[in-house]
Amino acid sequence: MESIQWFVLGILFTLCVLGFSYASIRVKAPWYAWAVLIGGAFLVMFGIAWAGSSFHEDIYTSGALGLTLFTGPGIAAMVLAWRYWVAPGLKGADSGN
Amino acid sequence: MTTEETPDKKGPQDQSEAPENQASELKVPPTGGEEDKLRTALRSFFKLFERQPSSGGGDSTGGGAPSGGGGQADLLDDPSRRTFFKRAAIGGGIALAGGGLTYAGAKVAISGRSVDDMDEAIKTEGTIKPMDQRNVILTFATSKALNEKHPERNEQYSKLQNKKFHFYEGASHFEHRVPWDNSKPGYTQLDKALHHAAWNPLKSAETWTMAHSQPNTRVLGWDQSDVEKEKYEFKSERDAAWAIKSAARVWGAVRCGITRRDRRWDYDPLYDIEKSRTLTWERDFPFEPKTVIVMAMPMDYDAMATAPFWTAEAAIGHGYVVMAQIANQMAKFLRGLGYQAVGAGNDLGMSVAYGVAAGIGEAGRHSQLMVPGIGPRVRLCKVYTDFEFVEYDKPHDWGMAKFCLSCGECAKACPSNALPKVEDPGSGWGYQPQYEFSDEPGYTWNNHTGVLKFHSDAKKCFDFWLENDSACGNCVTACTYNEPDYWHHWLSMASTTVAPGFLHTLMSHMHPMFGYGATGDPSKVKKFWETGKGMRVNSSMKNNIATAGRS
Ligand code: SF4
Ligand code: SF4
Repeated sequence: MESIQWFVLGILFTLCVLGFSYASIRVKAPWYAWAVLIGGAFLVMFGIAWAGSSFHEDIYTSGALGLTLFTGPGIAAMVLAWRYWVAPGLKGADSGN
Repeated sequence: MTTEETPDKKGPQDQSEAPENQASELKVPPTGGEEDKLRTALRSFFKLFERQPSSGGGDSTGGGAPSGGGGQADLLDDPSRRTFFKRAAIGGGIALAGGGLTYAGAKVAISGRSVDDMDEAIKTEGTIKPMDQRNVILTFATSKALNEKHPERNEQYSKLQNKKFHFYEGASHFEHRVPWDNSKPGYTQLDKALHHAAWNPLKSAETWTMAHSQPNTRVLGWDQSDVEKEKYEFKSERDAAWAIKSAARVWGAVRCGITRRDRRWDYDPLYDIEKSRTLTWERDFPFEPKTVIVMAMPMDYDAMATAPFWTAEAAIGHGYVVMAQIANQMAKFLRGLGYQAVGAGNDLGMSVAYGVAAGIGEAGRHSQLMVPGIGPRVRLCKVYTDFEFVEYDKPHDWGMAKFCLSCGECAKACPSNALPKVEDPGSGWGYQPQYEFSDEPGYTWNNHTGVLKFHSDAKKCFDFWLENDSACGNCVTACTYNEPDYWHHWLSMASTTVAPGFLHTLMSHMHPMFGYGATGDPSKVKKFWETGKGMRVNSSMKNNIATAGRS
């Protein structure tokens, strides 16, 4: 079962790398936006890995907290970075700036 | 113009443009809503992976392999694709390298720091006298003769702590005093039967008193009549160490360390509880030991999680059975190689001190050996031998004892207040016991003083055992280092070696917050009795043996 978790994370990791590489040529954003986005993605995956192992060992509190404390803030960081730094960059691109 | 069209319309002279400049040129169409934008973005993303006509208009991809001349050239000539693949390769590479470095760093941290100087690993004050085995709690408690010789010990404890307490009387009925109650989870007939069954092999083999430090029992006997006449010669000391550790592993040990015999950690004199007489190493022991092999075997995580209920005793009793079995096998192995050897459980010497000296762990606040990755959820056995052509292990420092200074979860979980608390002077860490009544004359008779460590009041611990009619184990279960074998616990373990003290406090609080280390929880008993579910197709042995792989 644990192997499935690592397999899924491998896919997520690959998608993240491709997604960020693609975004980096489509979007103009300050360096800290990328740092927050990448950090957020790392937290999301770390939380999933943590929760996967915790659920596997039957410690559900740890799994739930892993998602809450790692994946949750990771998603929040990514959403905020997108909202405040990336989306304006996209709008800039929309208007041809 | 759509984004994907942009590169194709560019001339070769534009292809050297910096990626930053491309960003502004790779535009999302100005019209359409969010949905259109997303669709366009996705379409352009997947377009990156498609073959396209070359900028010169020829179809170089038709029917050819992707790596074939023109197609490859097109791919590389396209600046957005080139940037994309370059960044994906570099970004992915950096991420993988970062992961690899973290893994390597964690591996190094988990290996611990080798301590060359034994005096640094185990600090002592003045000259340390070996512990008299008659002062070991379980030896004293199970010996009628010693109780008669030292009535003041019972009187003092009754006066200061518990009026109804008597070491020998309590020990005589231990584990058979309290009747089961099928309405109380953890104290039912099912739990009692499991508890007694776990110990039964040792009782059948008349070796159960090894738990009380009785030397020269049937399974761990001193007889050397079967030592082979021909001595096996190892090519090197390292080969010898590996052979010993390989043998330990196959019999079920998860850690094995080899250290020189150190008289400070031996019981001296030894005491034969059954015959009520002292024994000396020089007169009674069959040979002069040179080396002590220390082996650790894990106790089941889910059974220990039920502490202090009787269910946990299943893991403890079974641990003792395996201790006797492995110590017996290792001693026989060495005798088969032509060397004298005697196996020992709790007898002969202090297992925790020897475990530290042999580099397999550190002593914790609960006075037990903590082994990286398993914590204190291990049992220890030893083999004394005259074999000395072997590579000795060095003590290691993982920062675990340091972690204990700011943790204290075991002390919080201790129902008898036997363990020093973080709030105690020096956090309970010192050369002398500092617990309640330790300044009363003669009260610390059971402590090995002069060694820098956490000194606990094992009398109070034993008092609770008698009340519970079973060993307790709360301190093992609650320990922050008591973890199943999963990567995130190893990572936490590795991070404690480098984390500063205030983070240790935080981590020790997080452990129970994350659902680990609860004691006295009836739901754990229910969970334990369901661990056999799905055993036929068990996909992991982790919860059974707590750690896998090499010793
Ligand atoms: S076994 Fe129980 S009573 Fe004894 S020290 Fe540990 S927690 Fe305390
Ligand atoms: S619970 Fe904490 S203080 Fe107690 S032995 Fe374990 S790590 Fe040390």
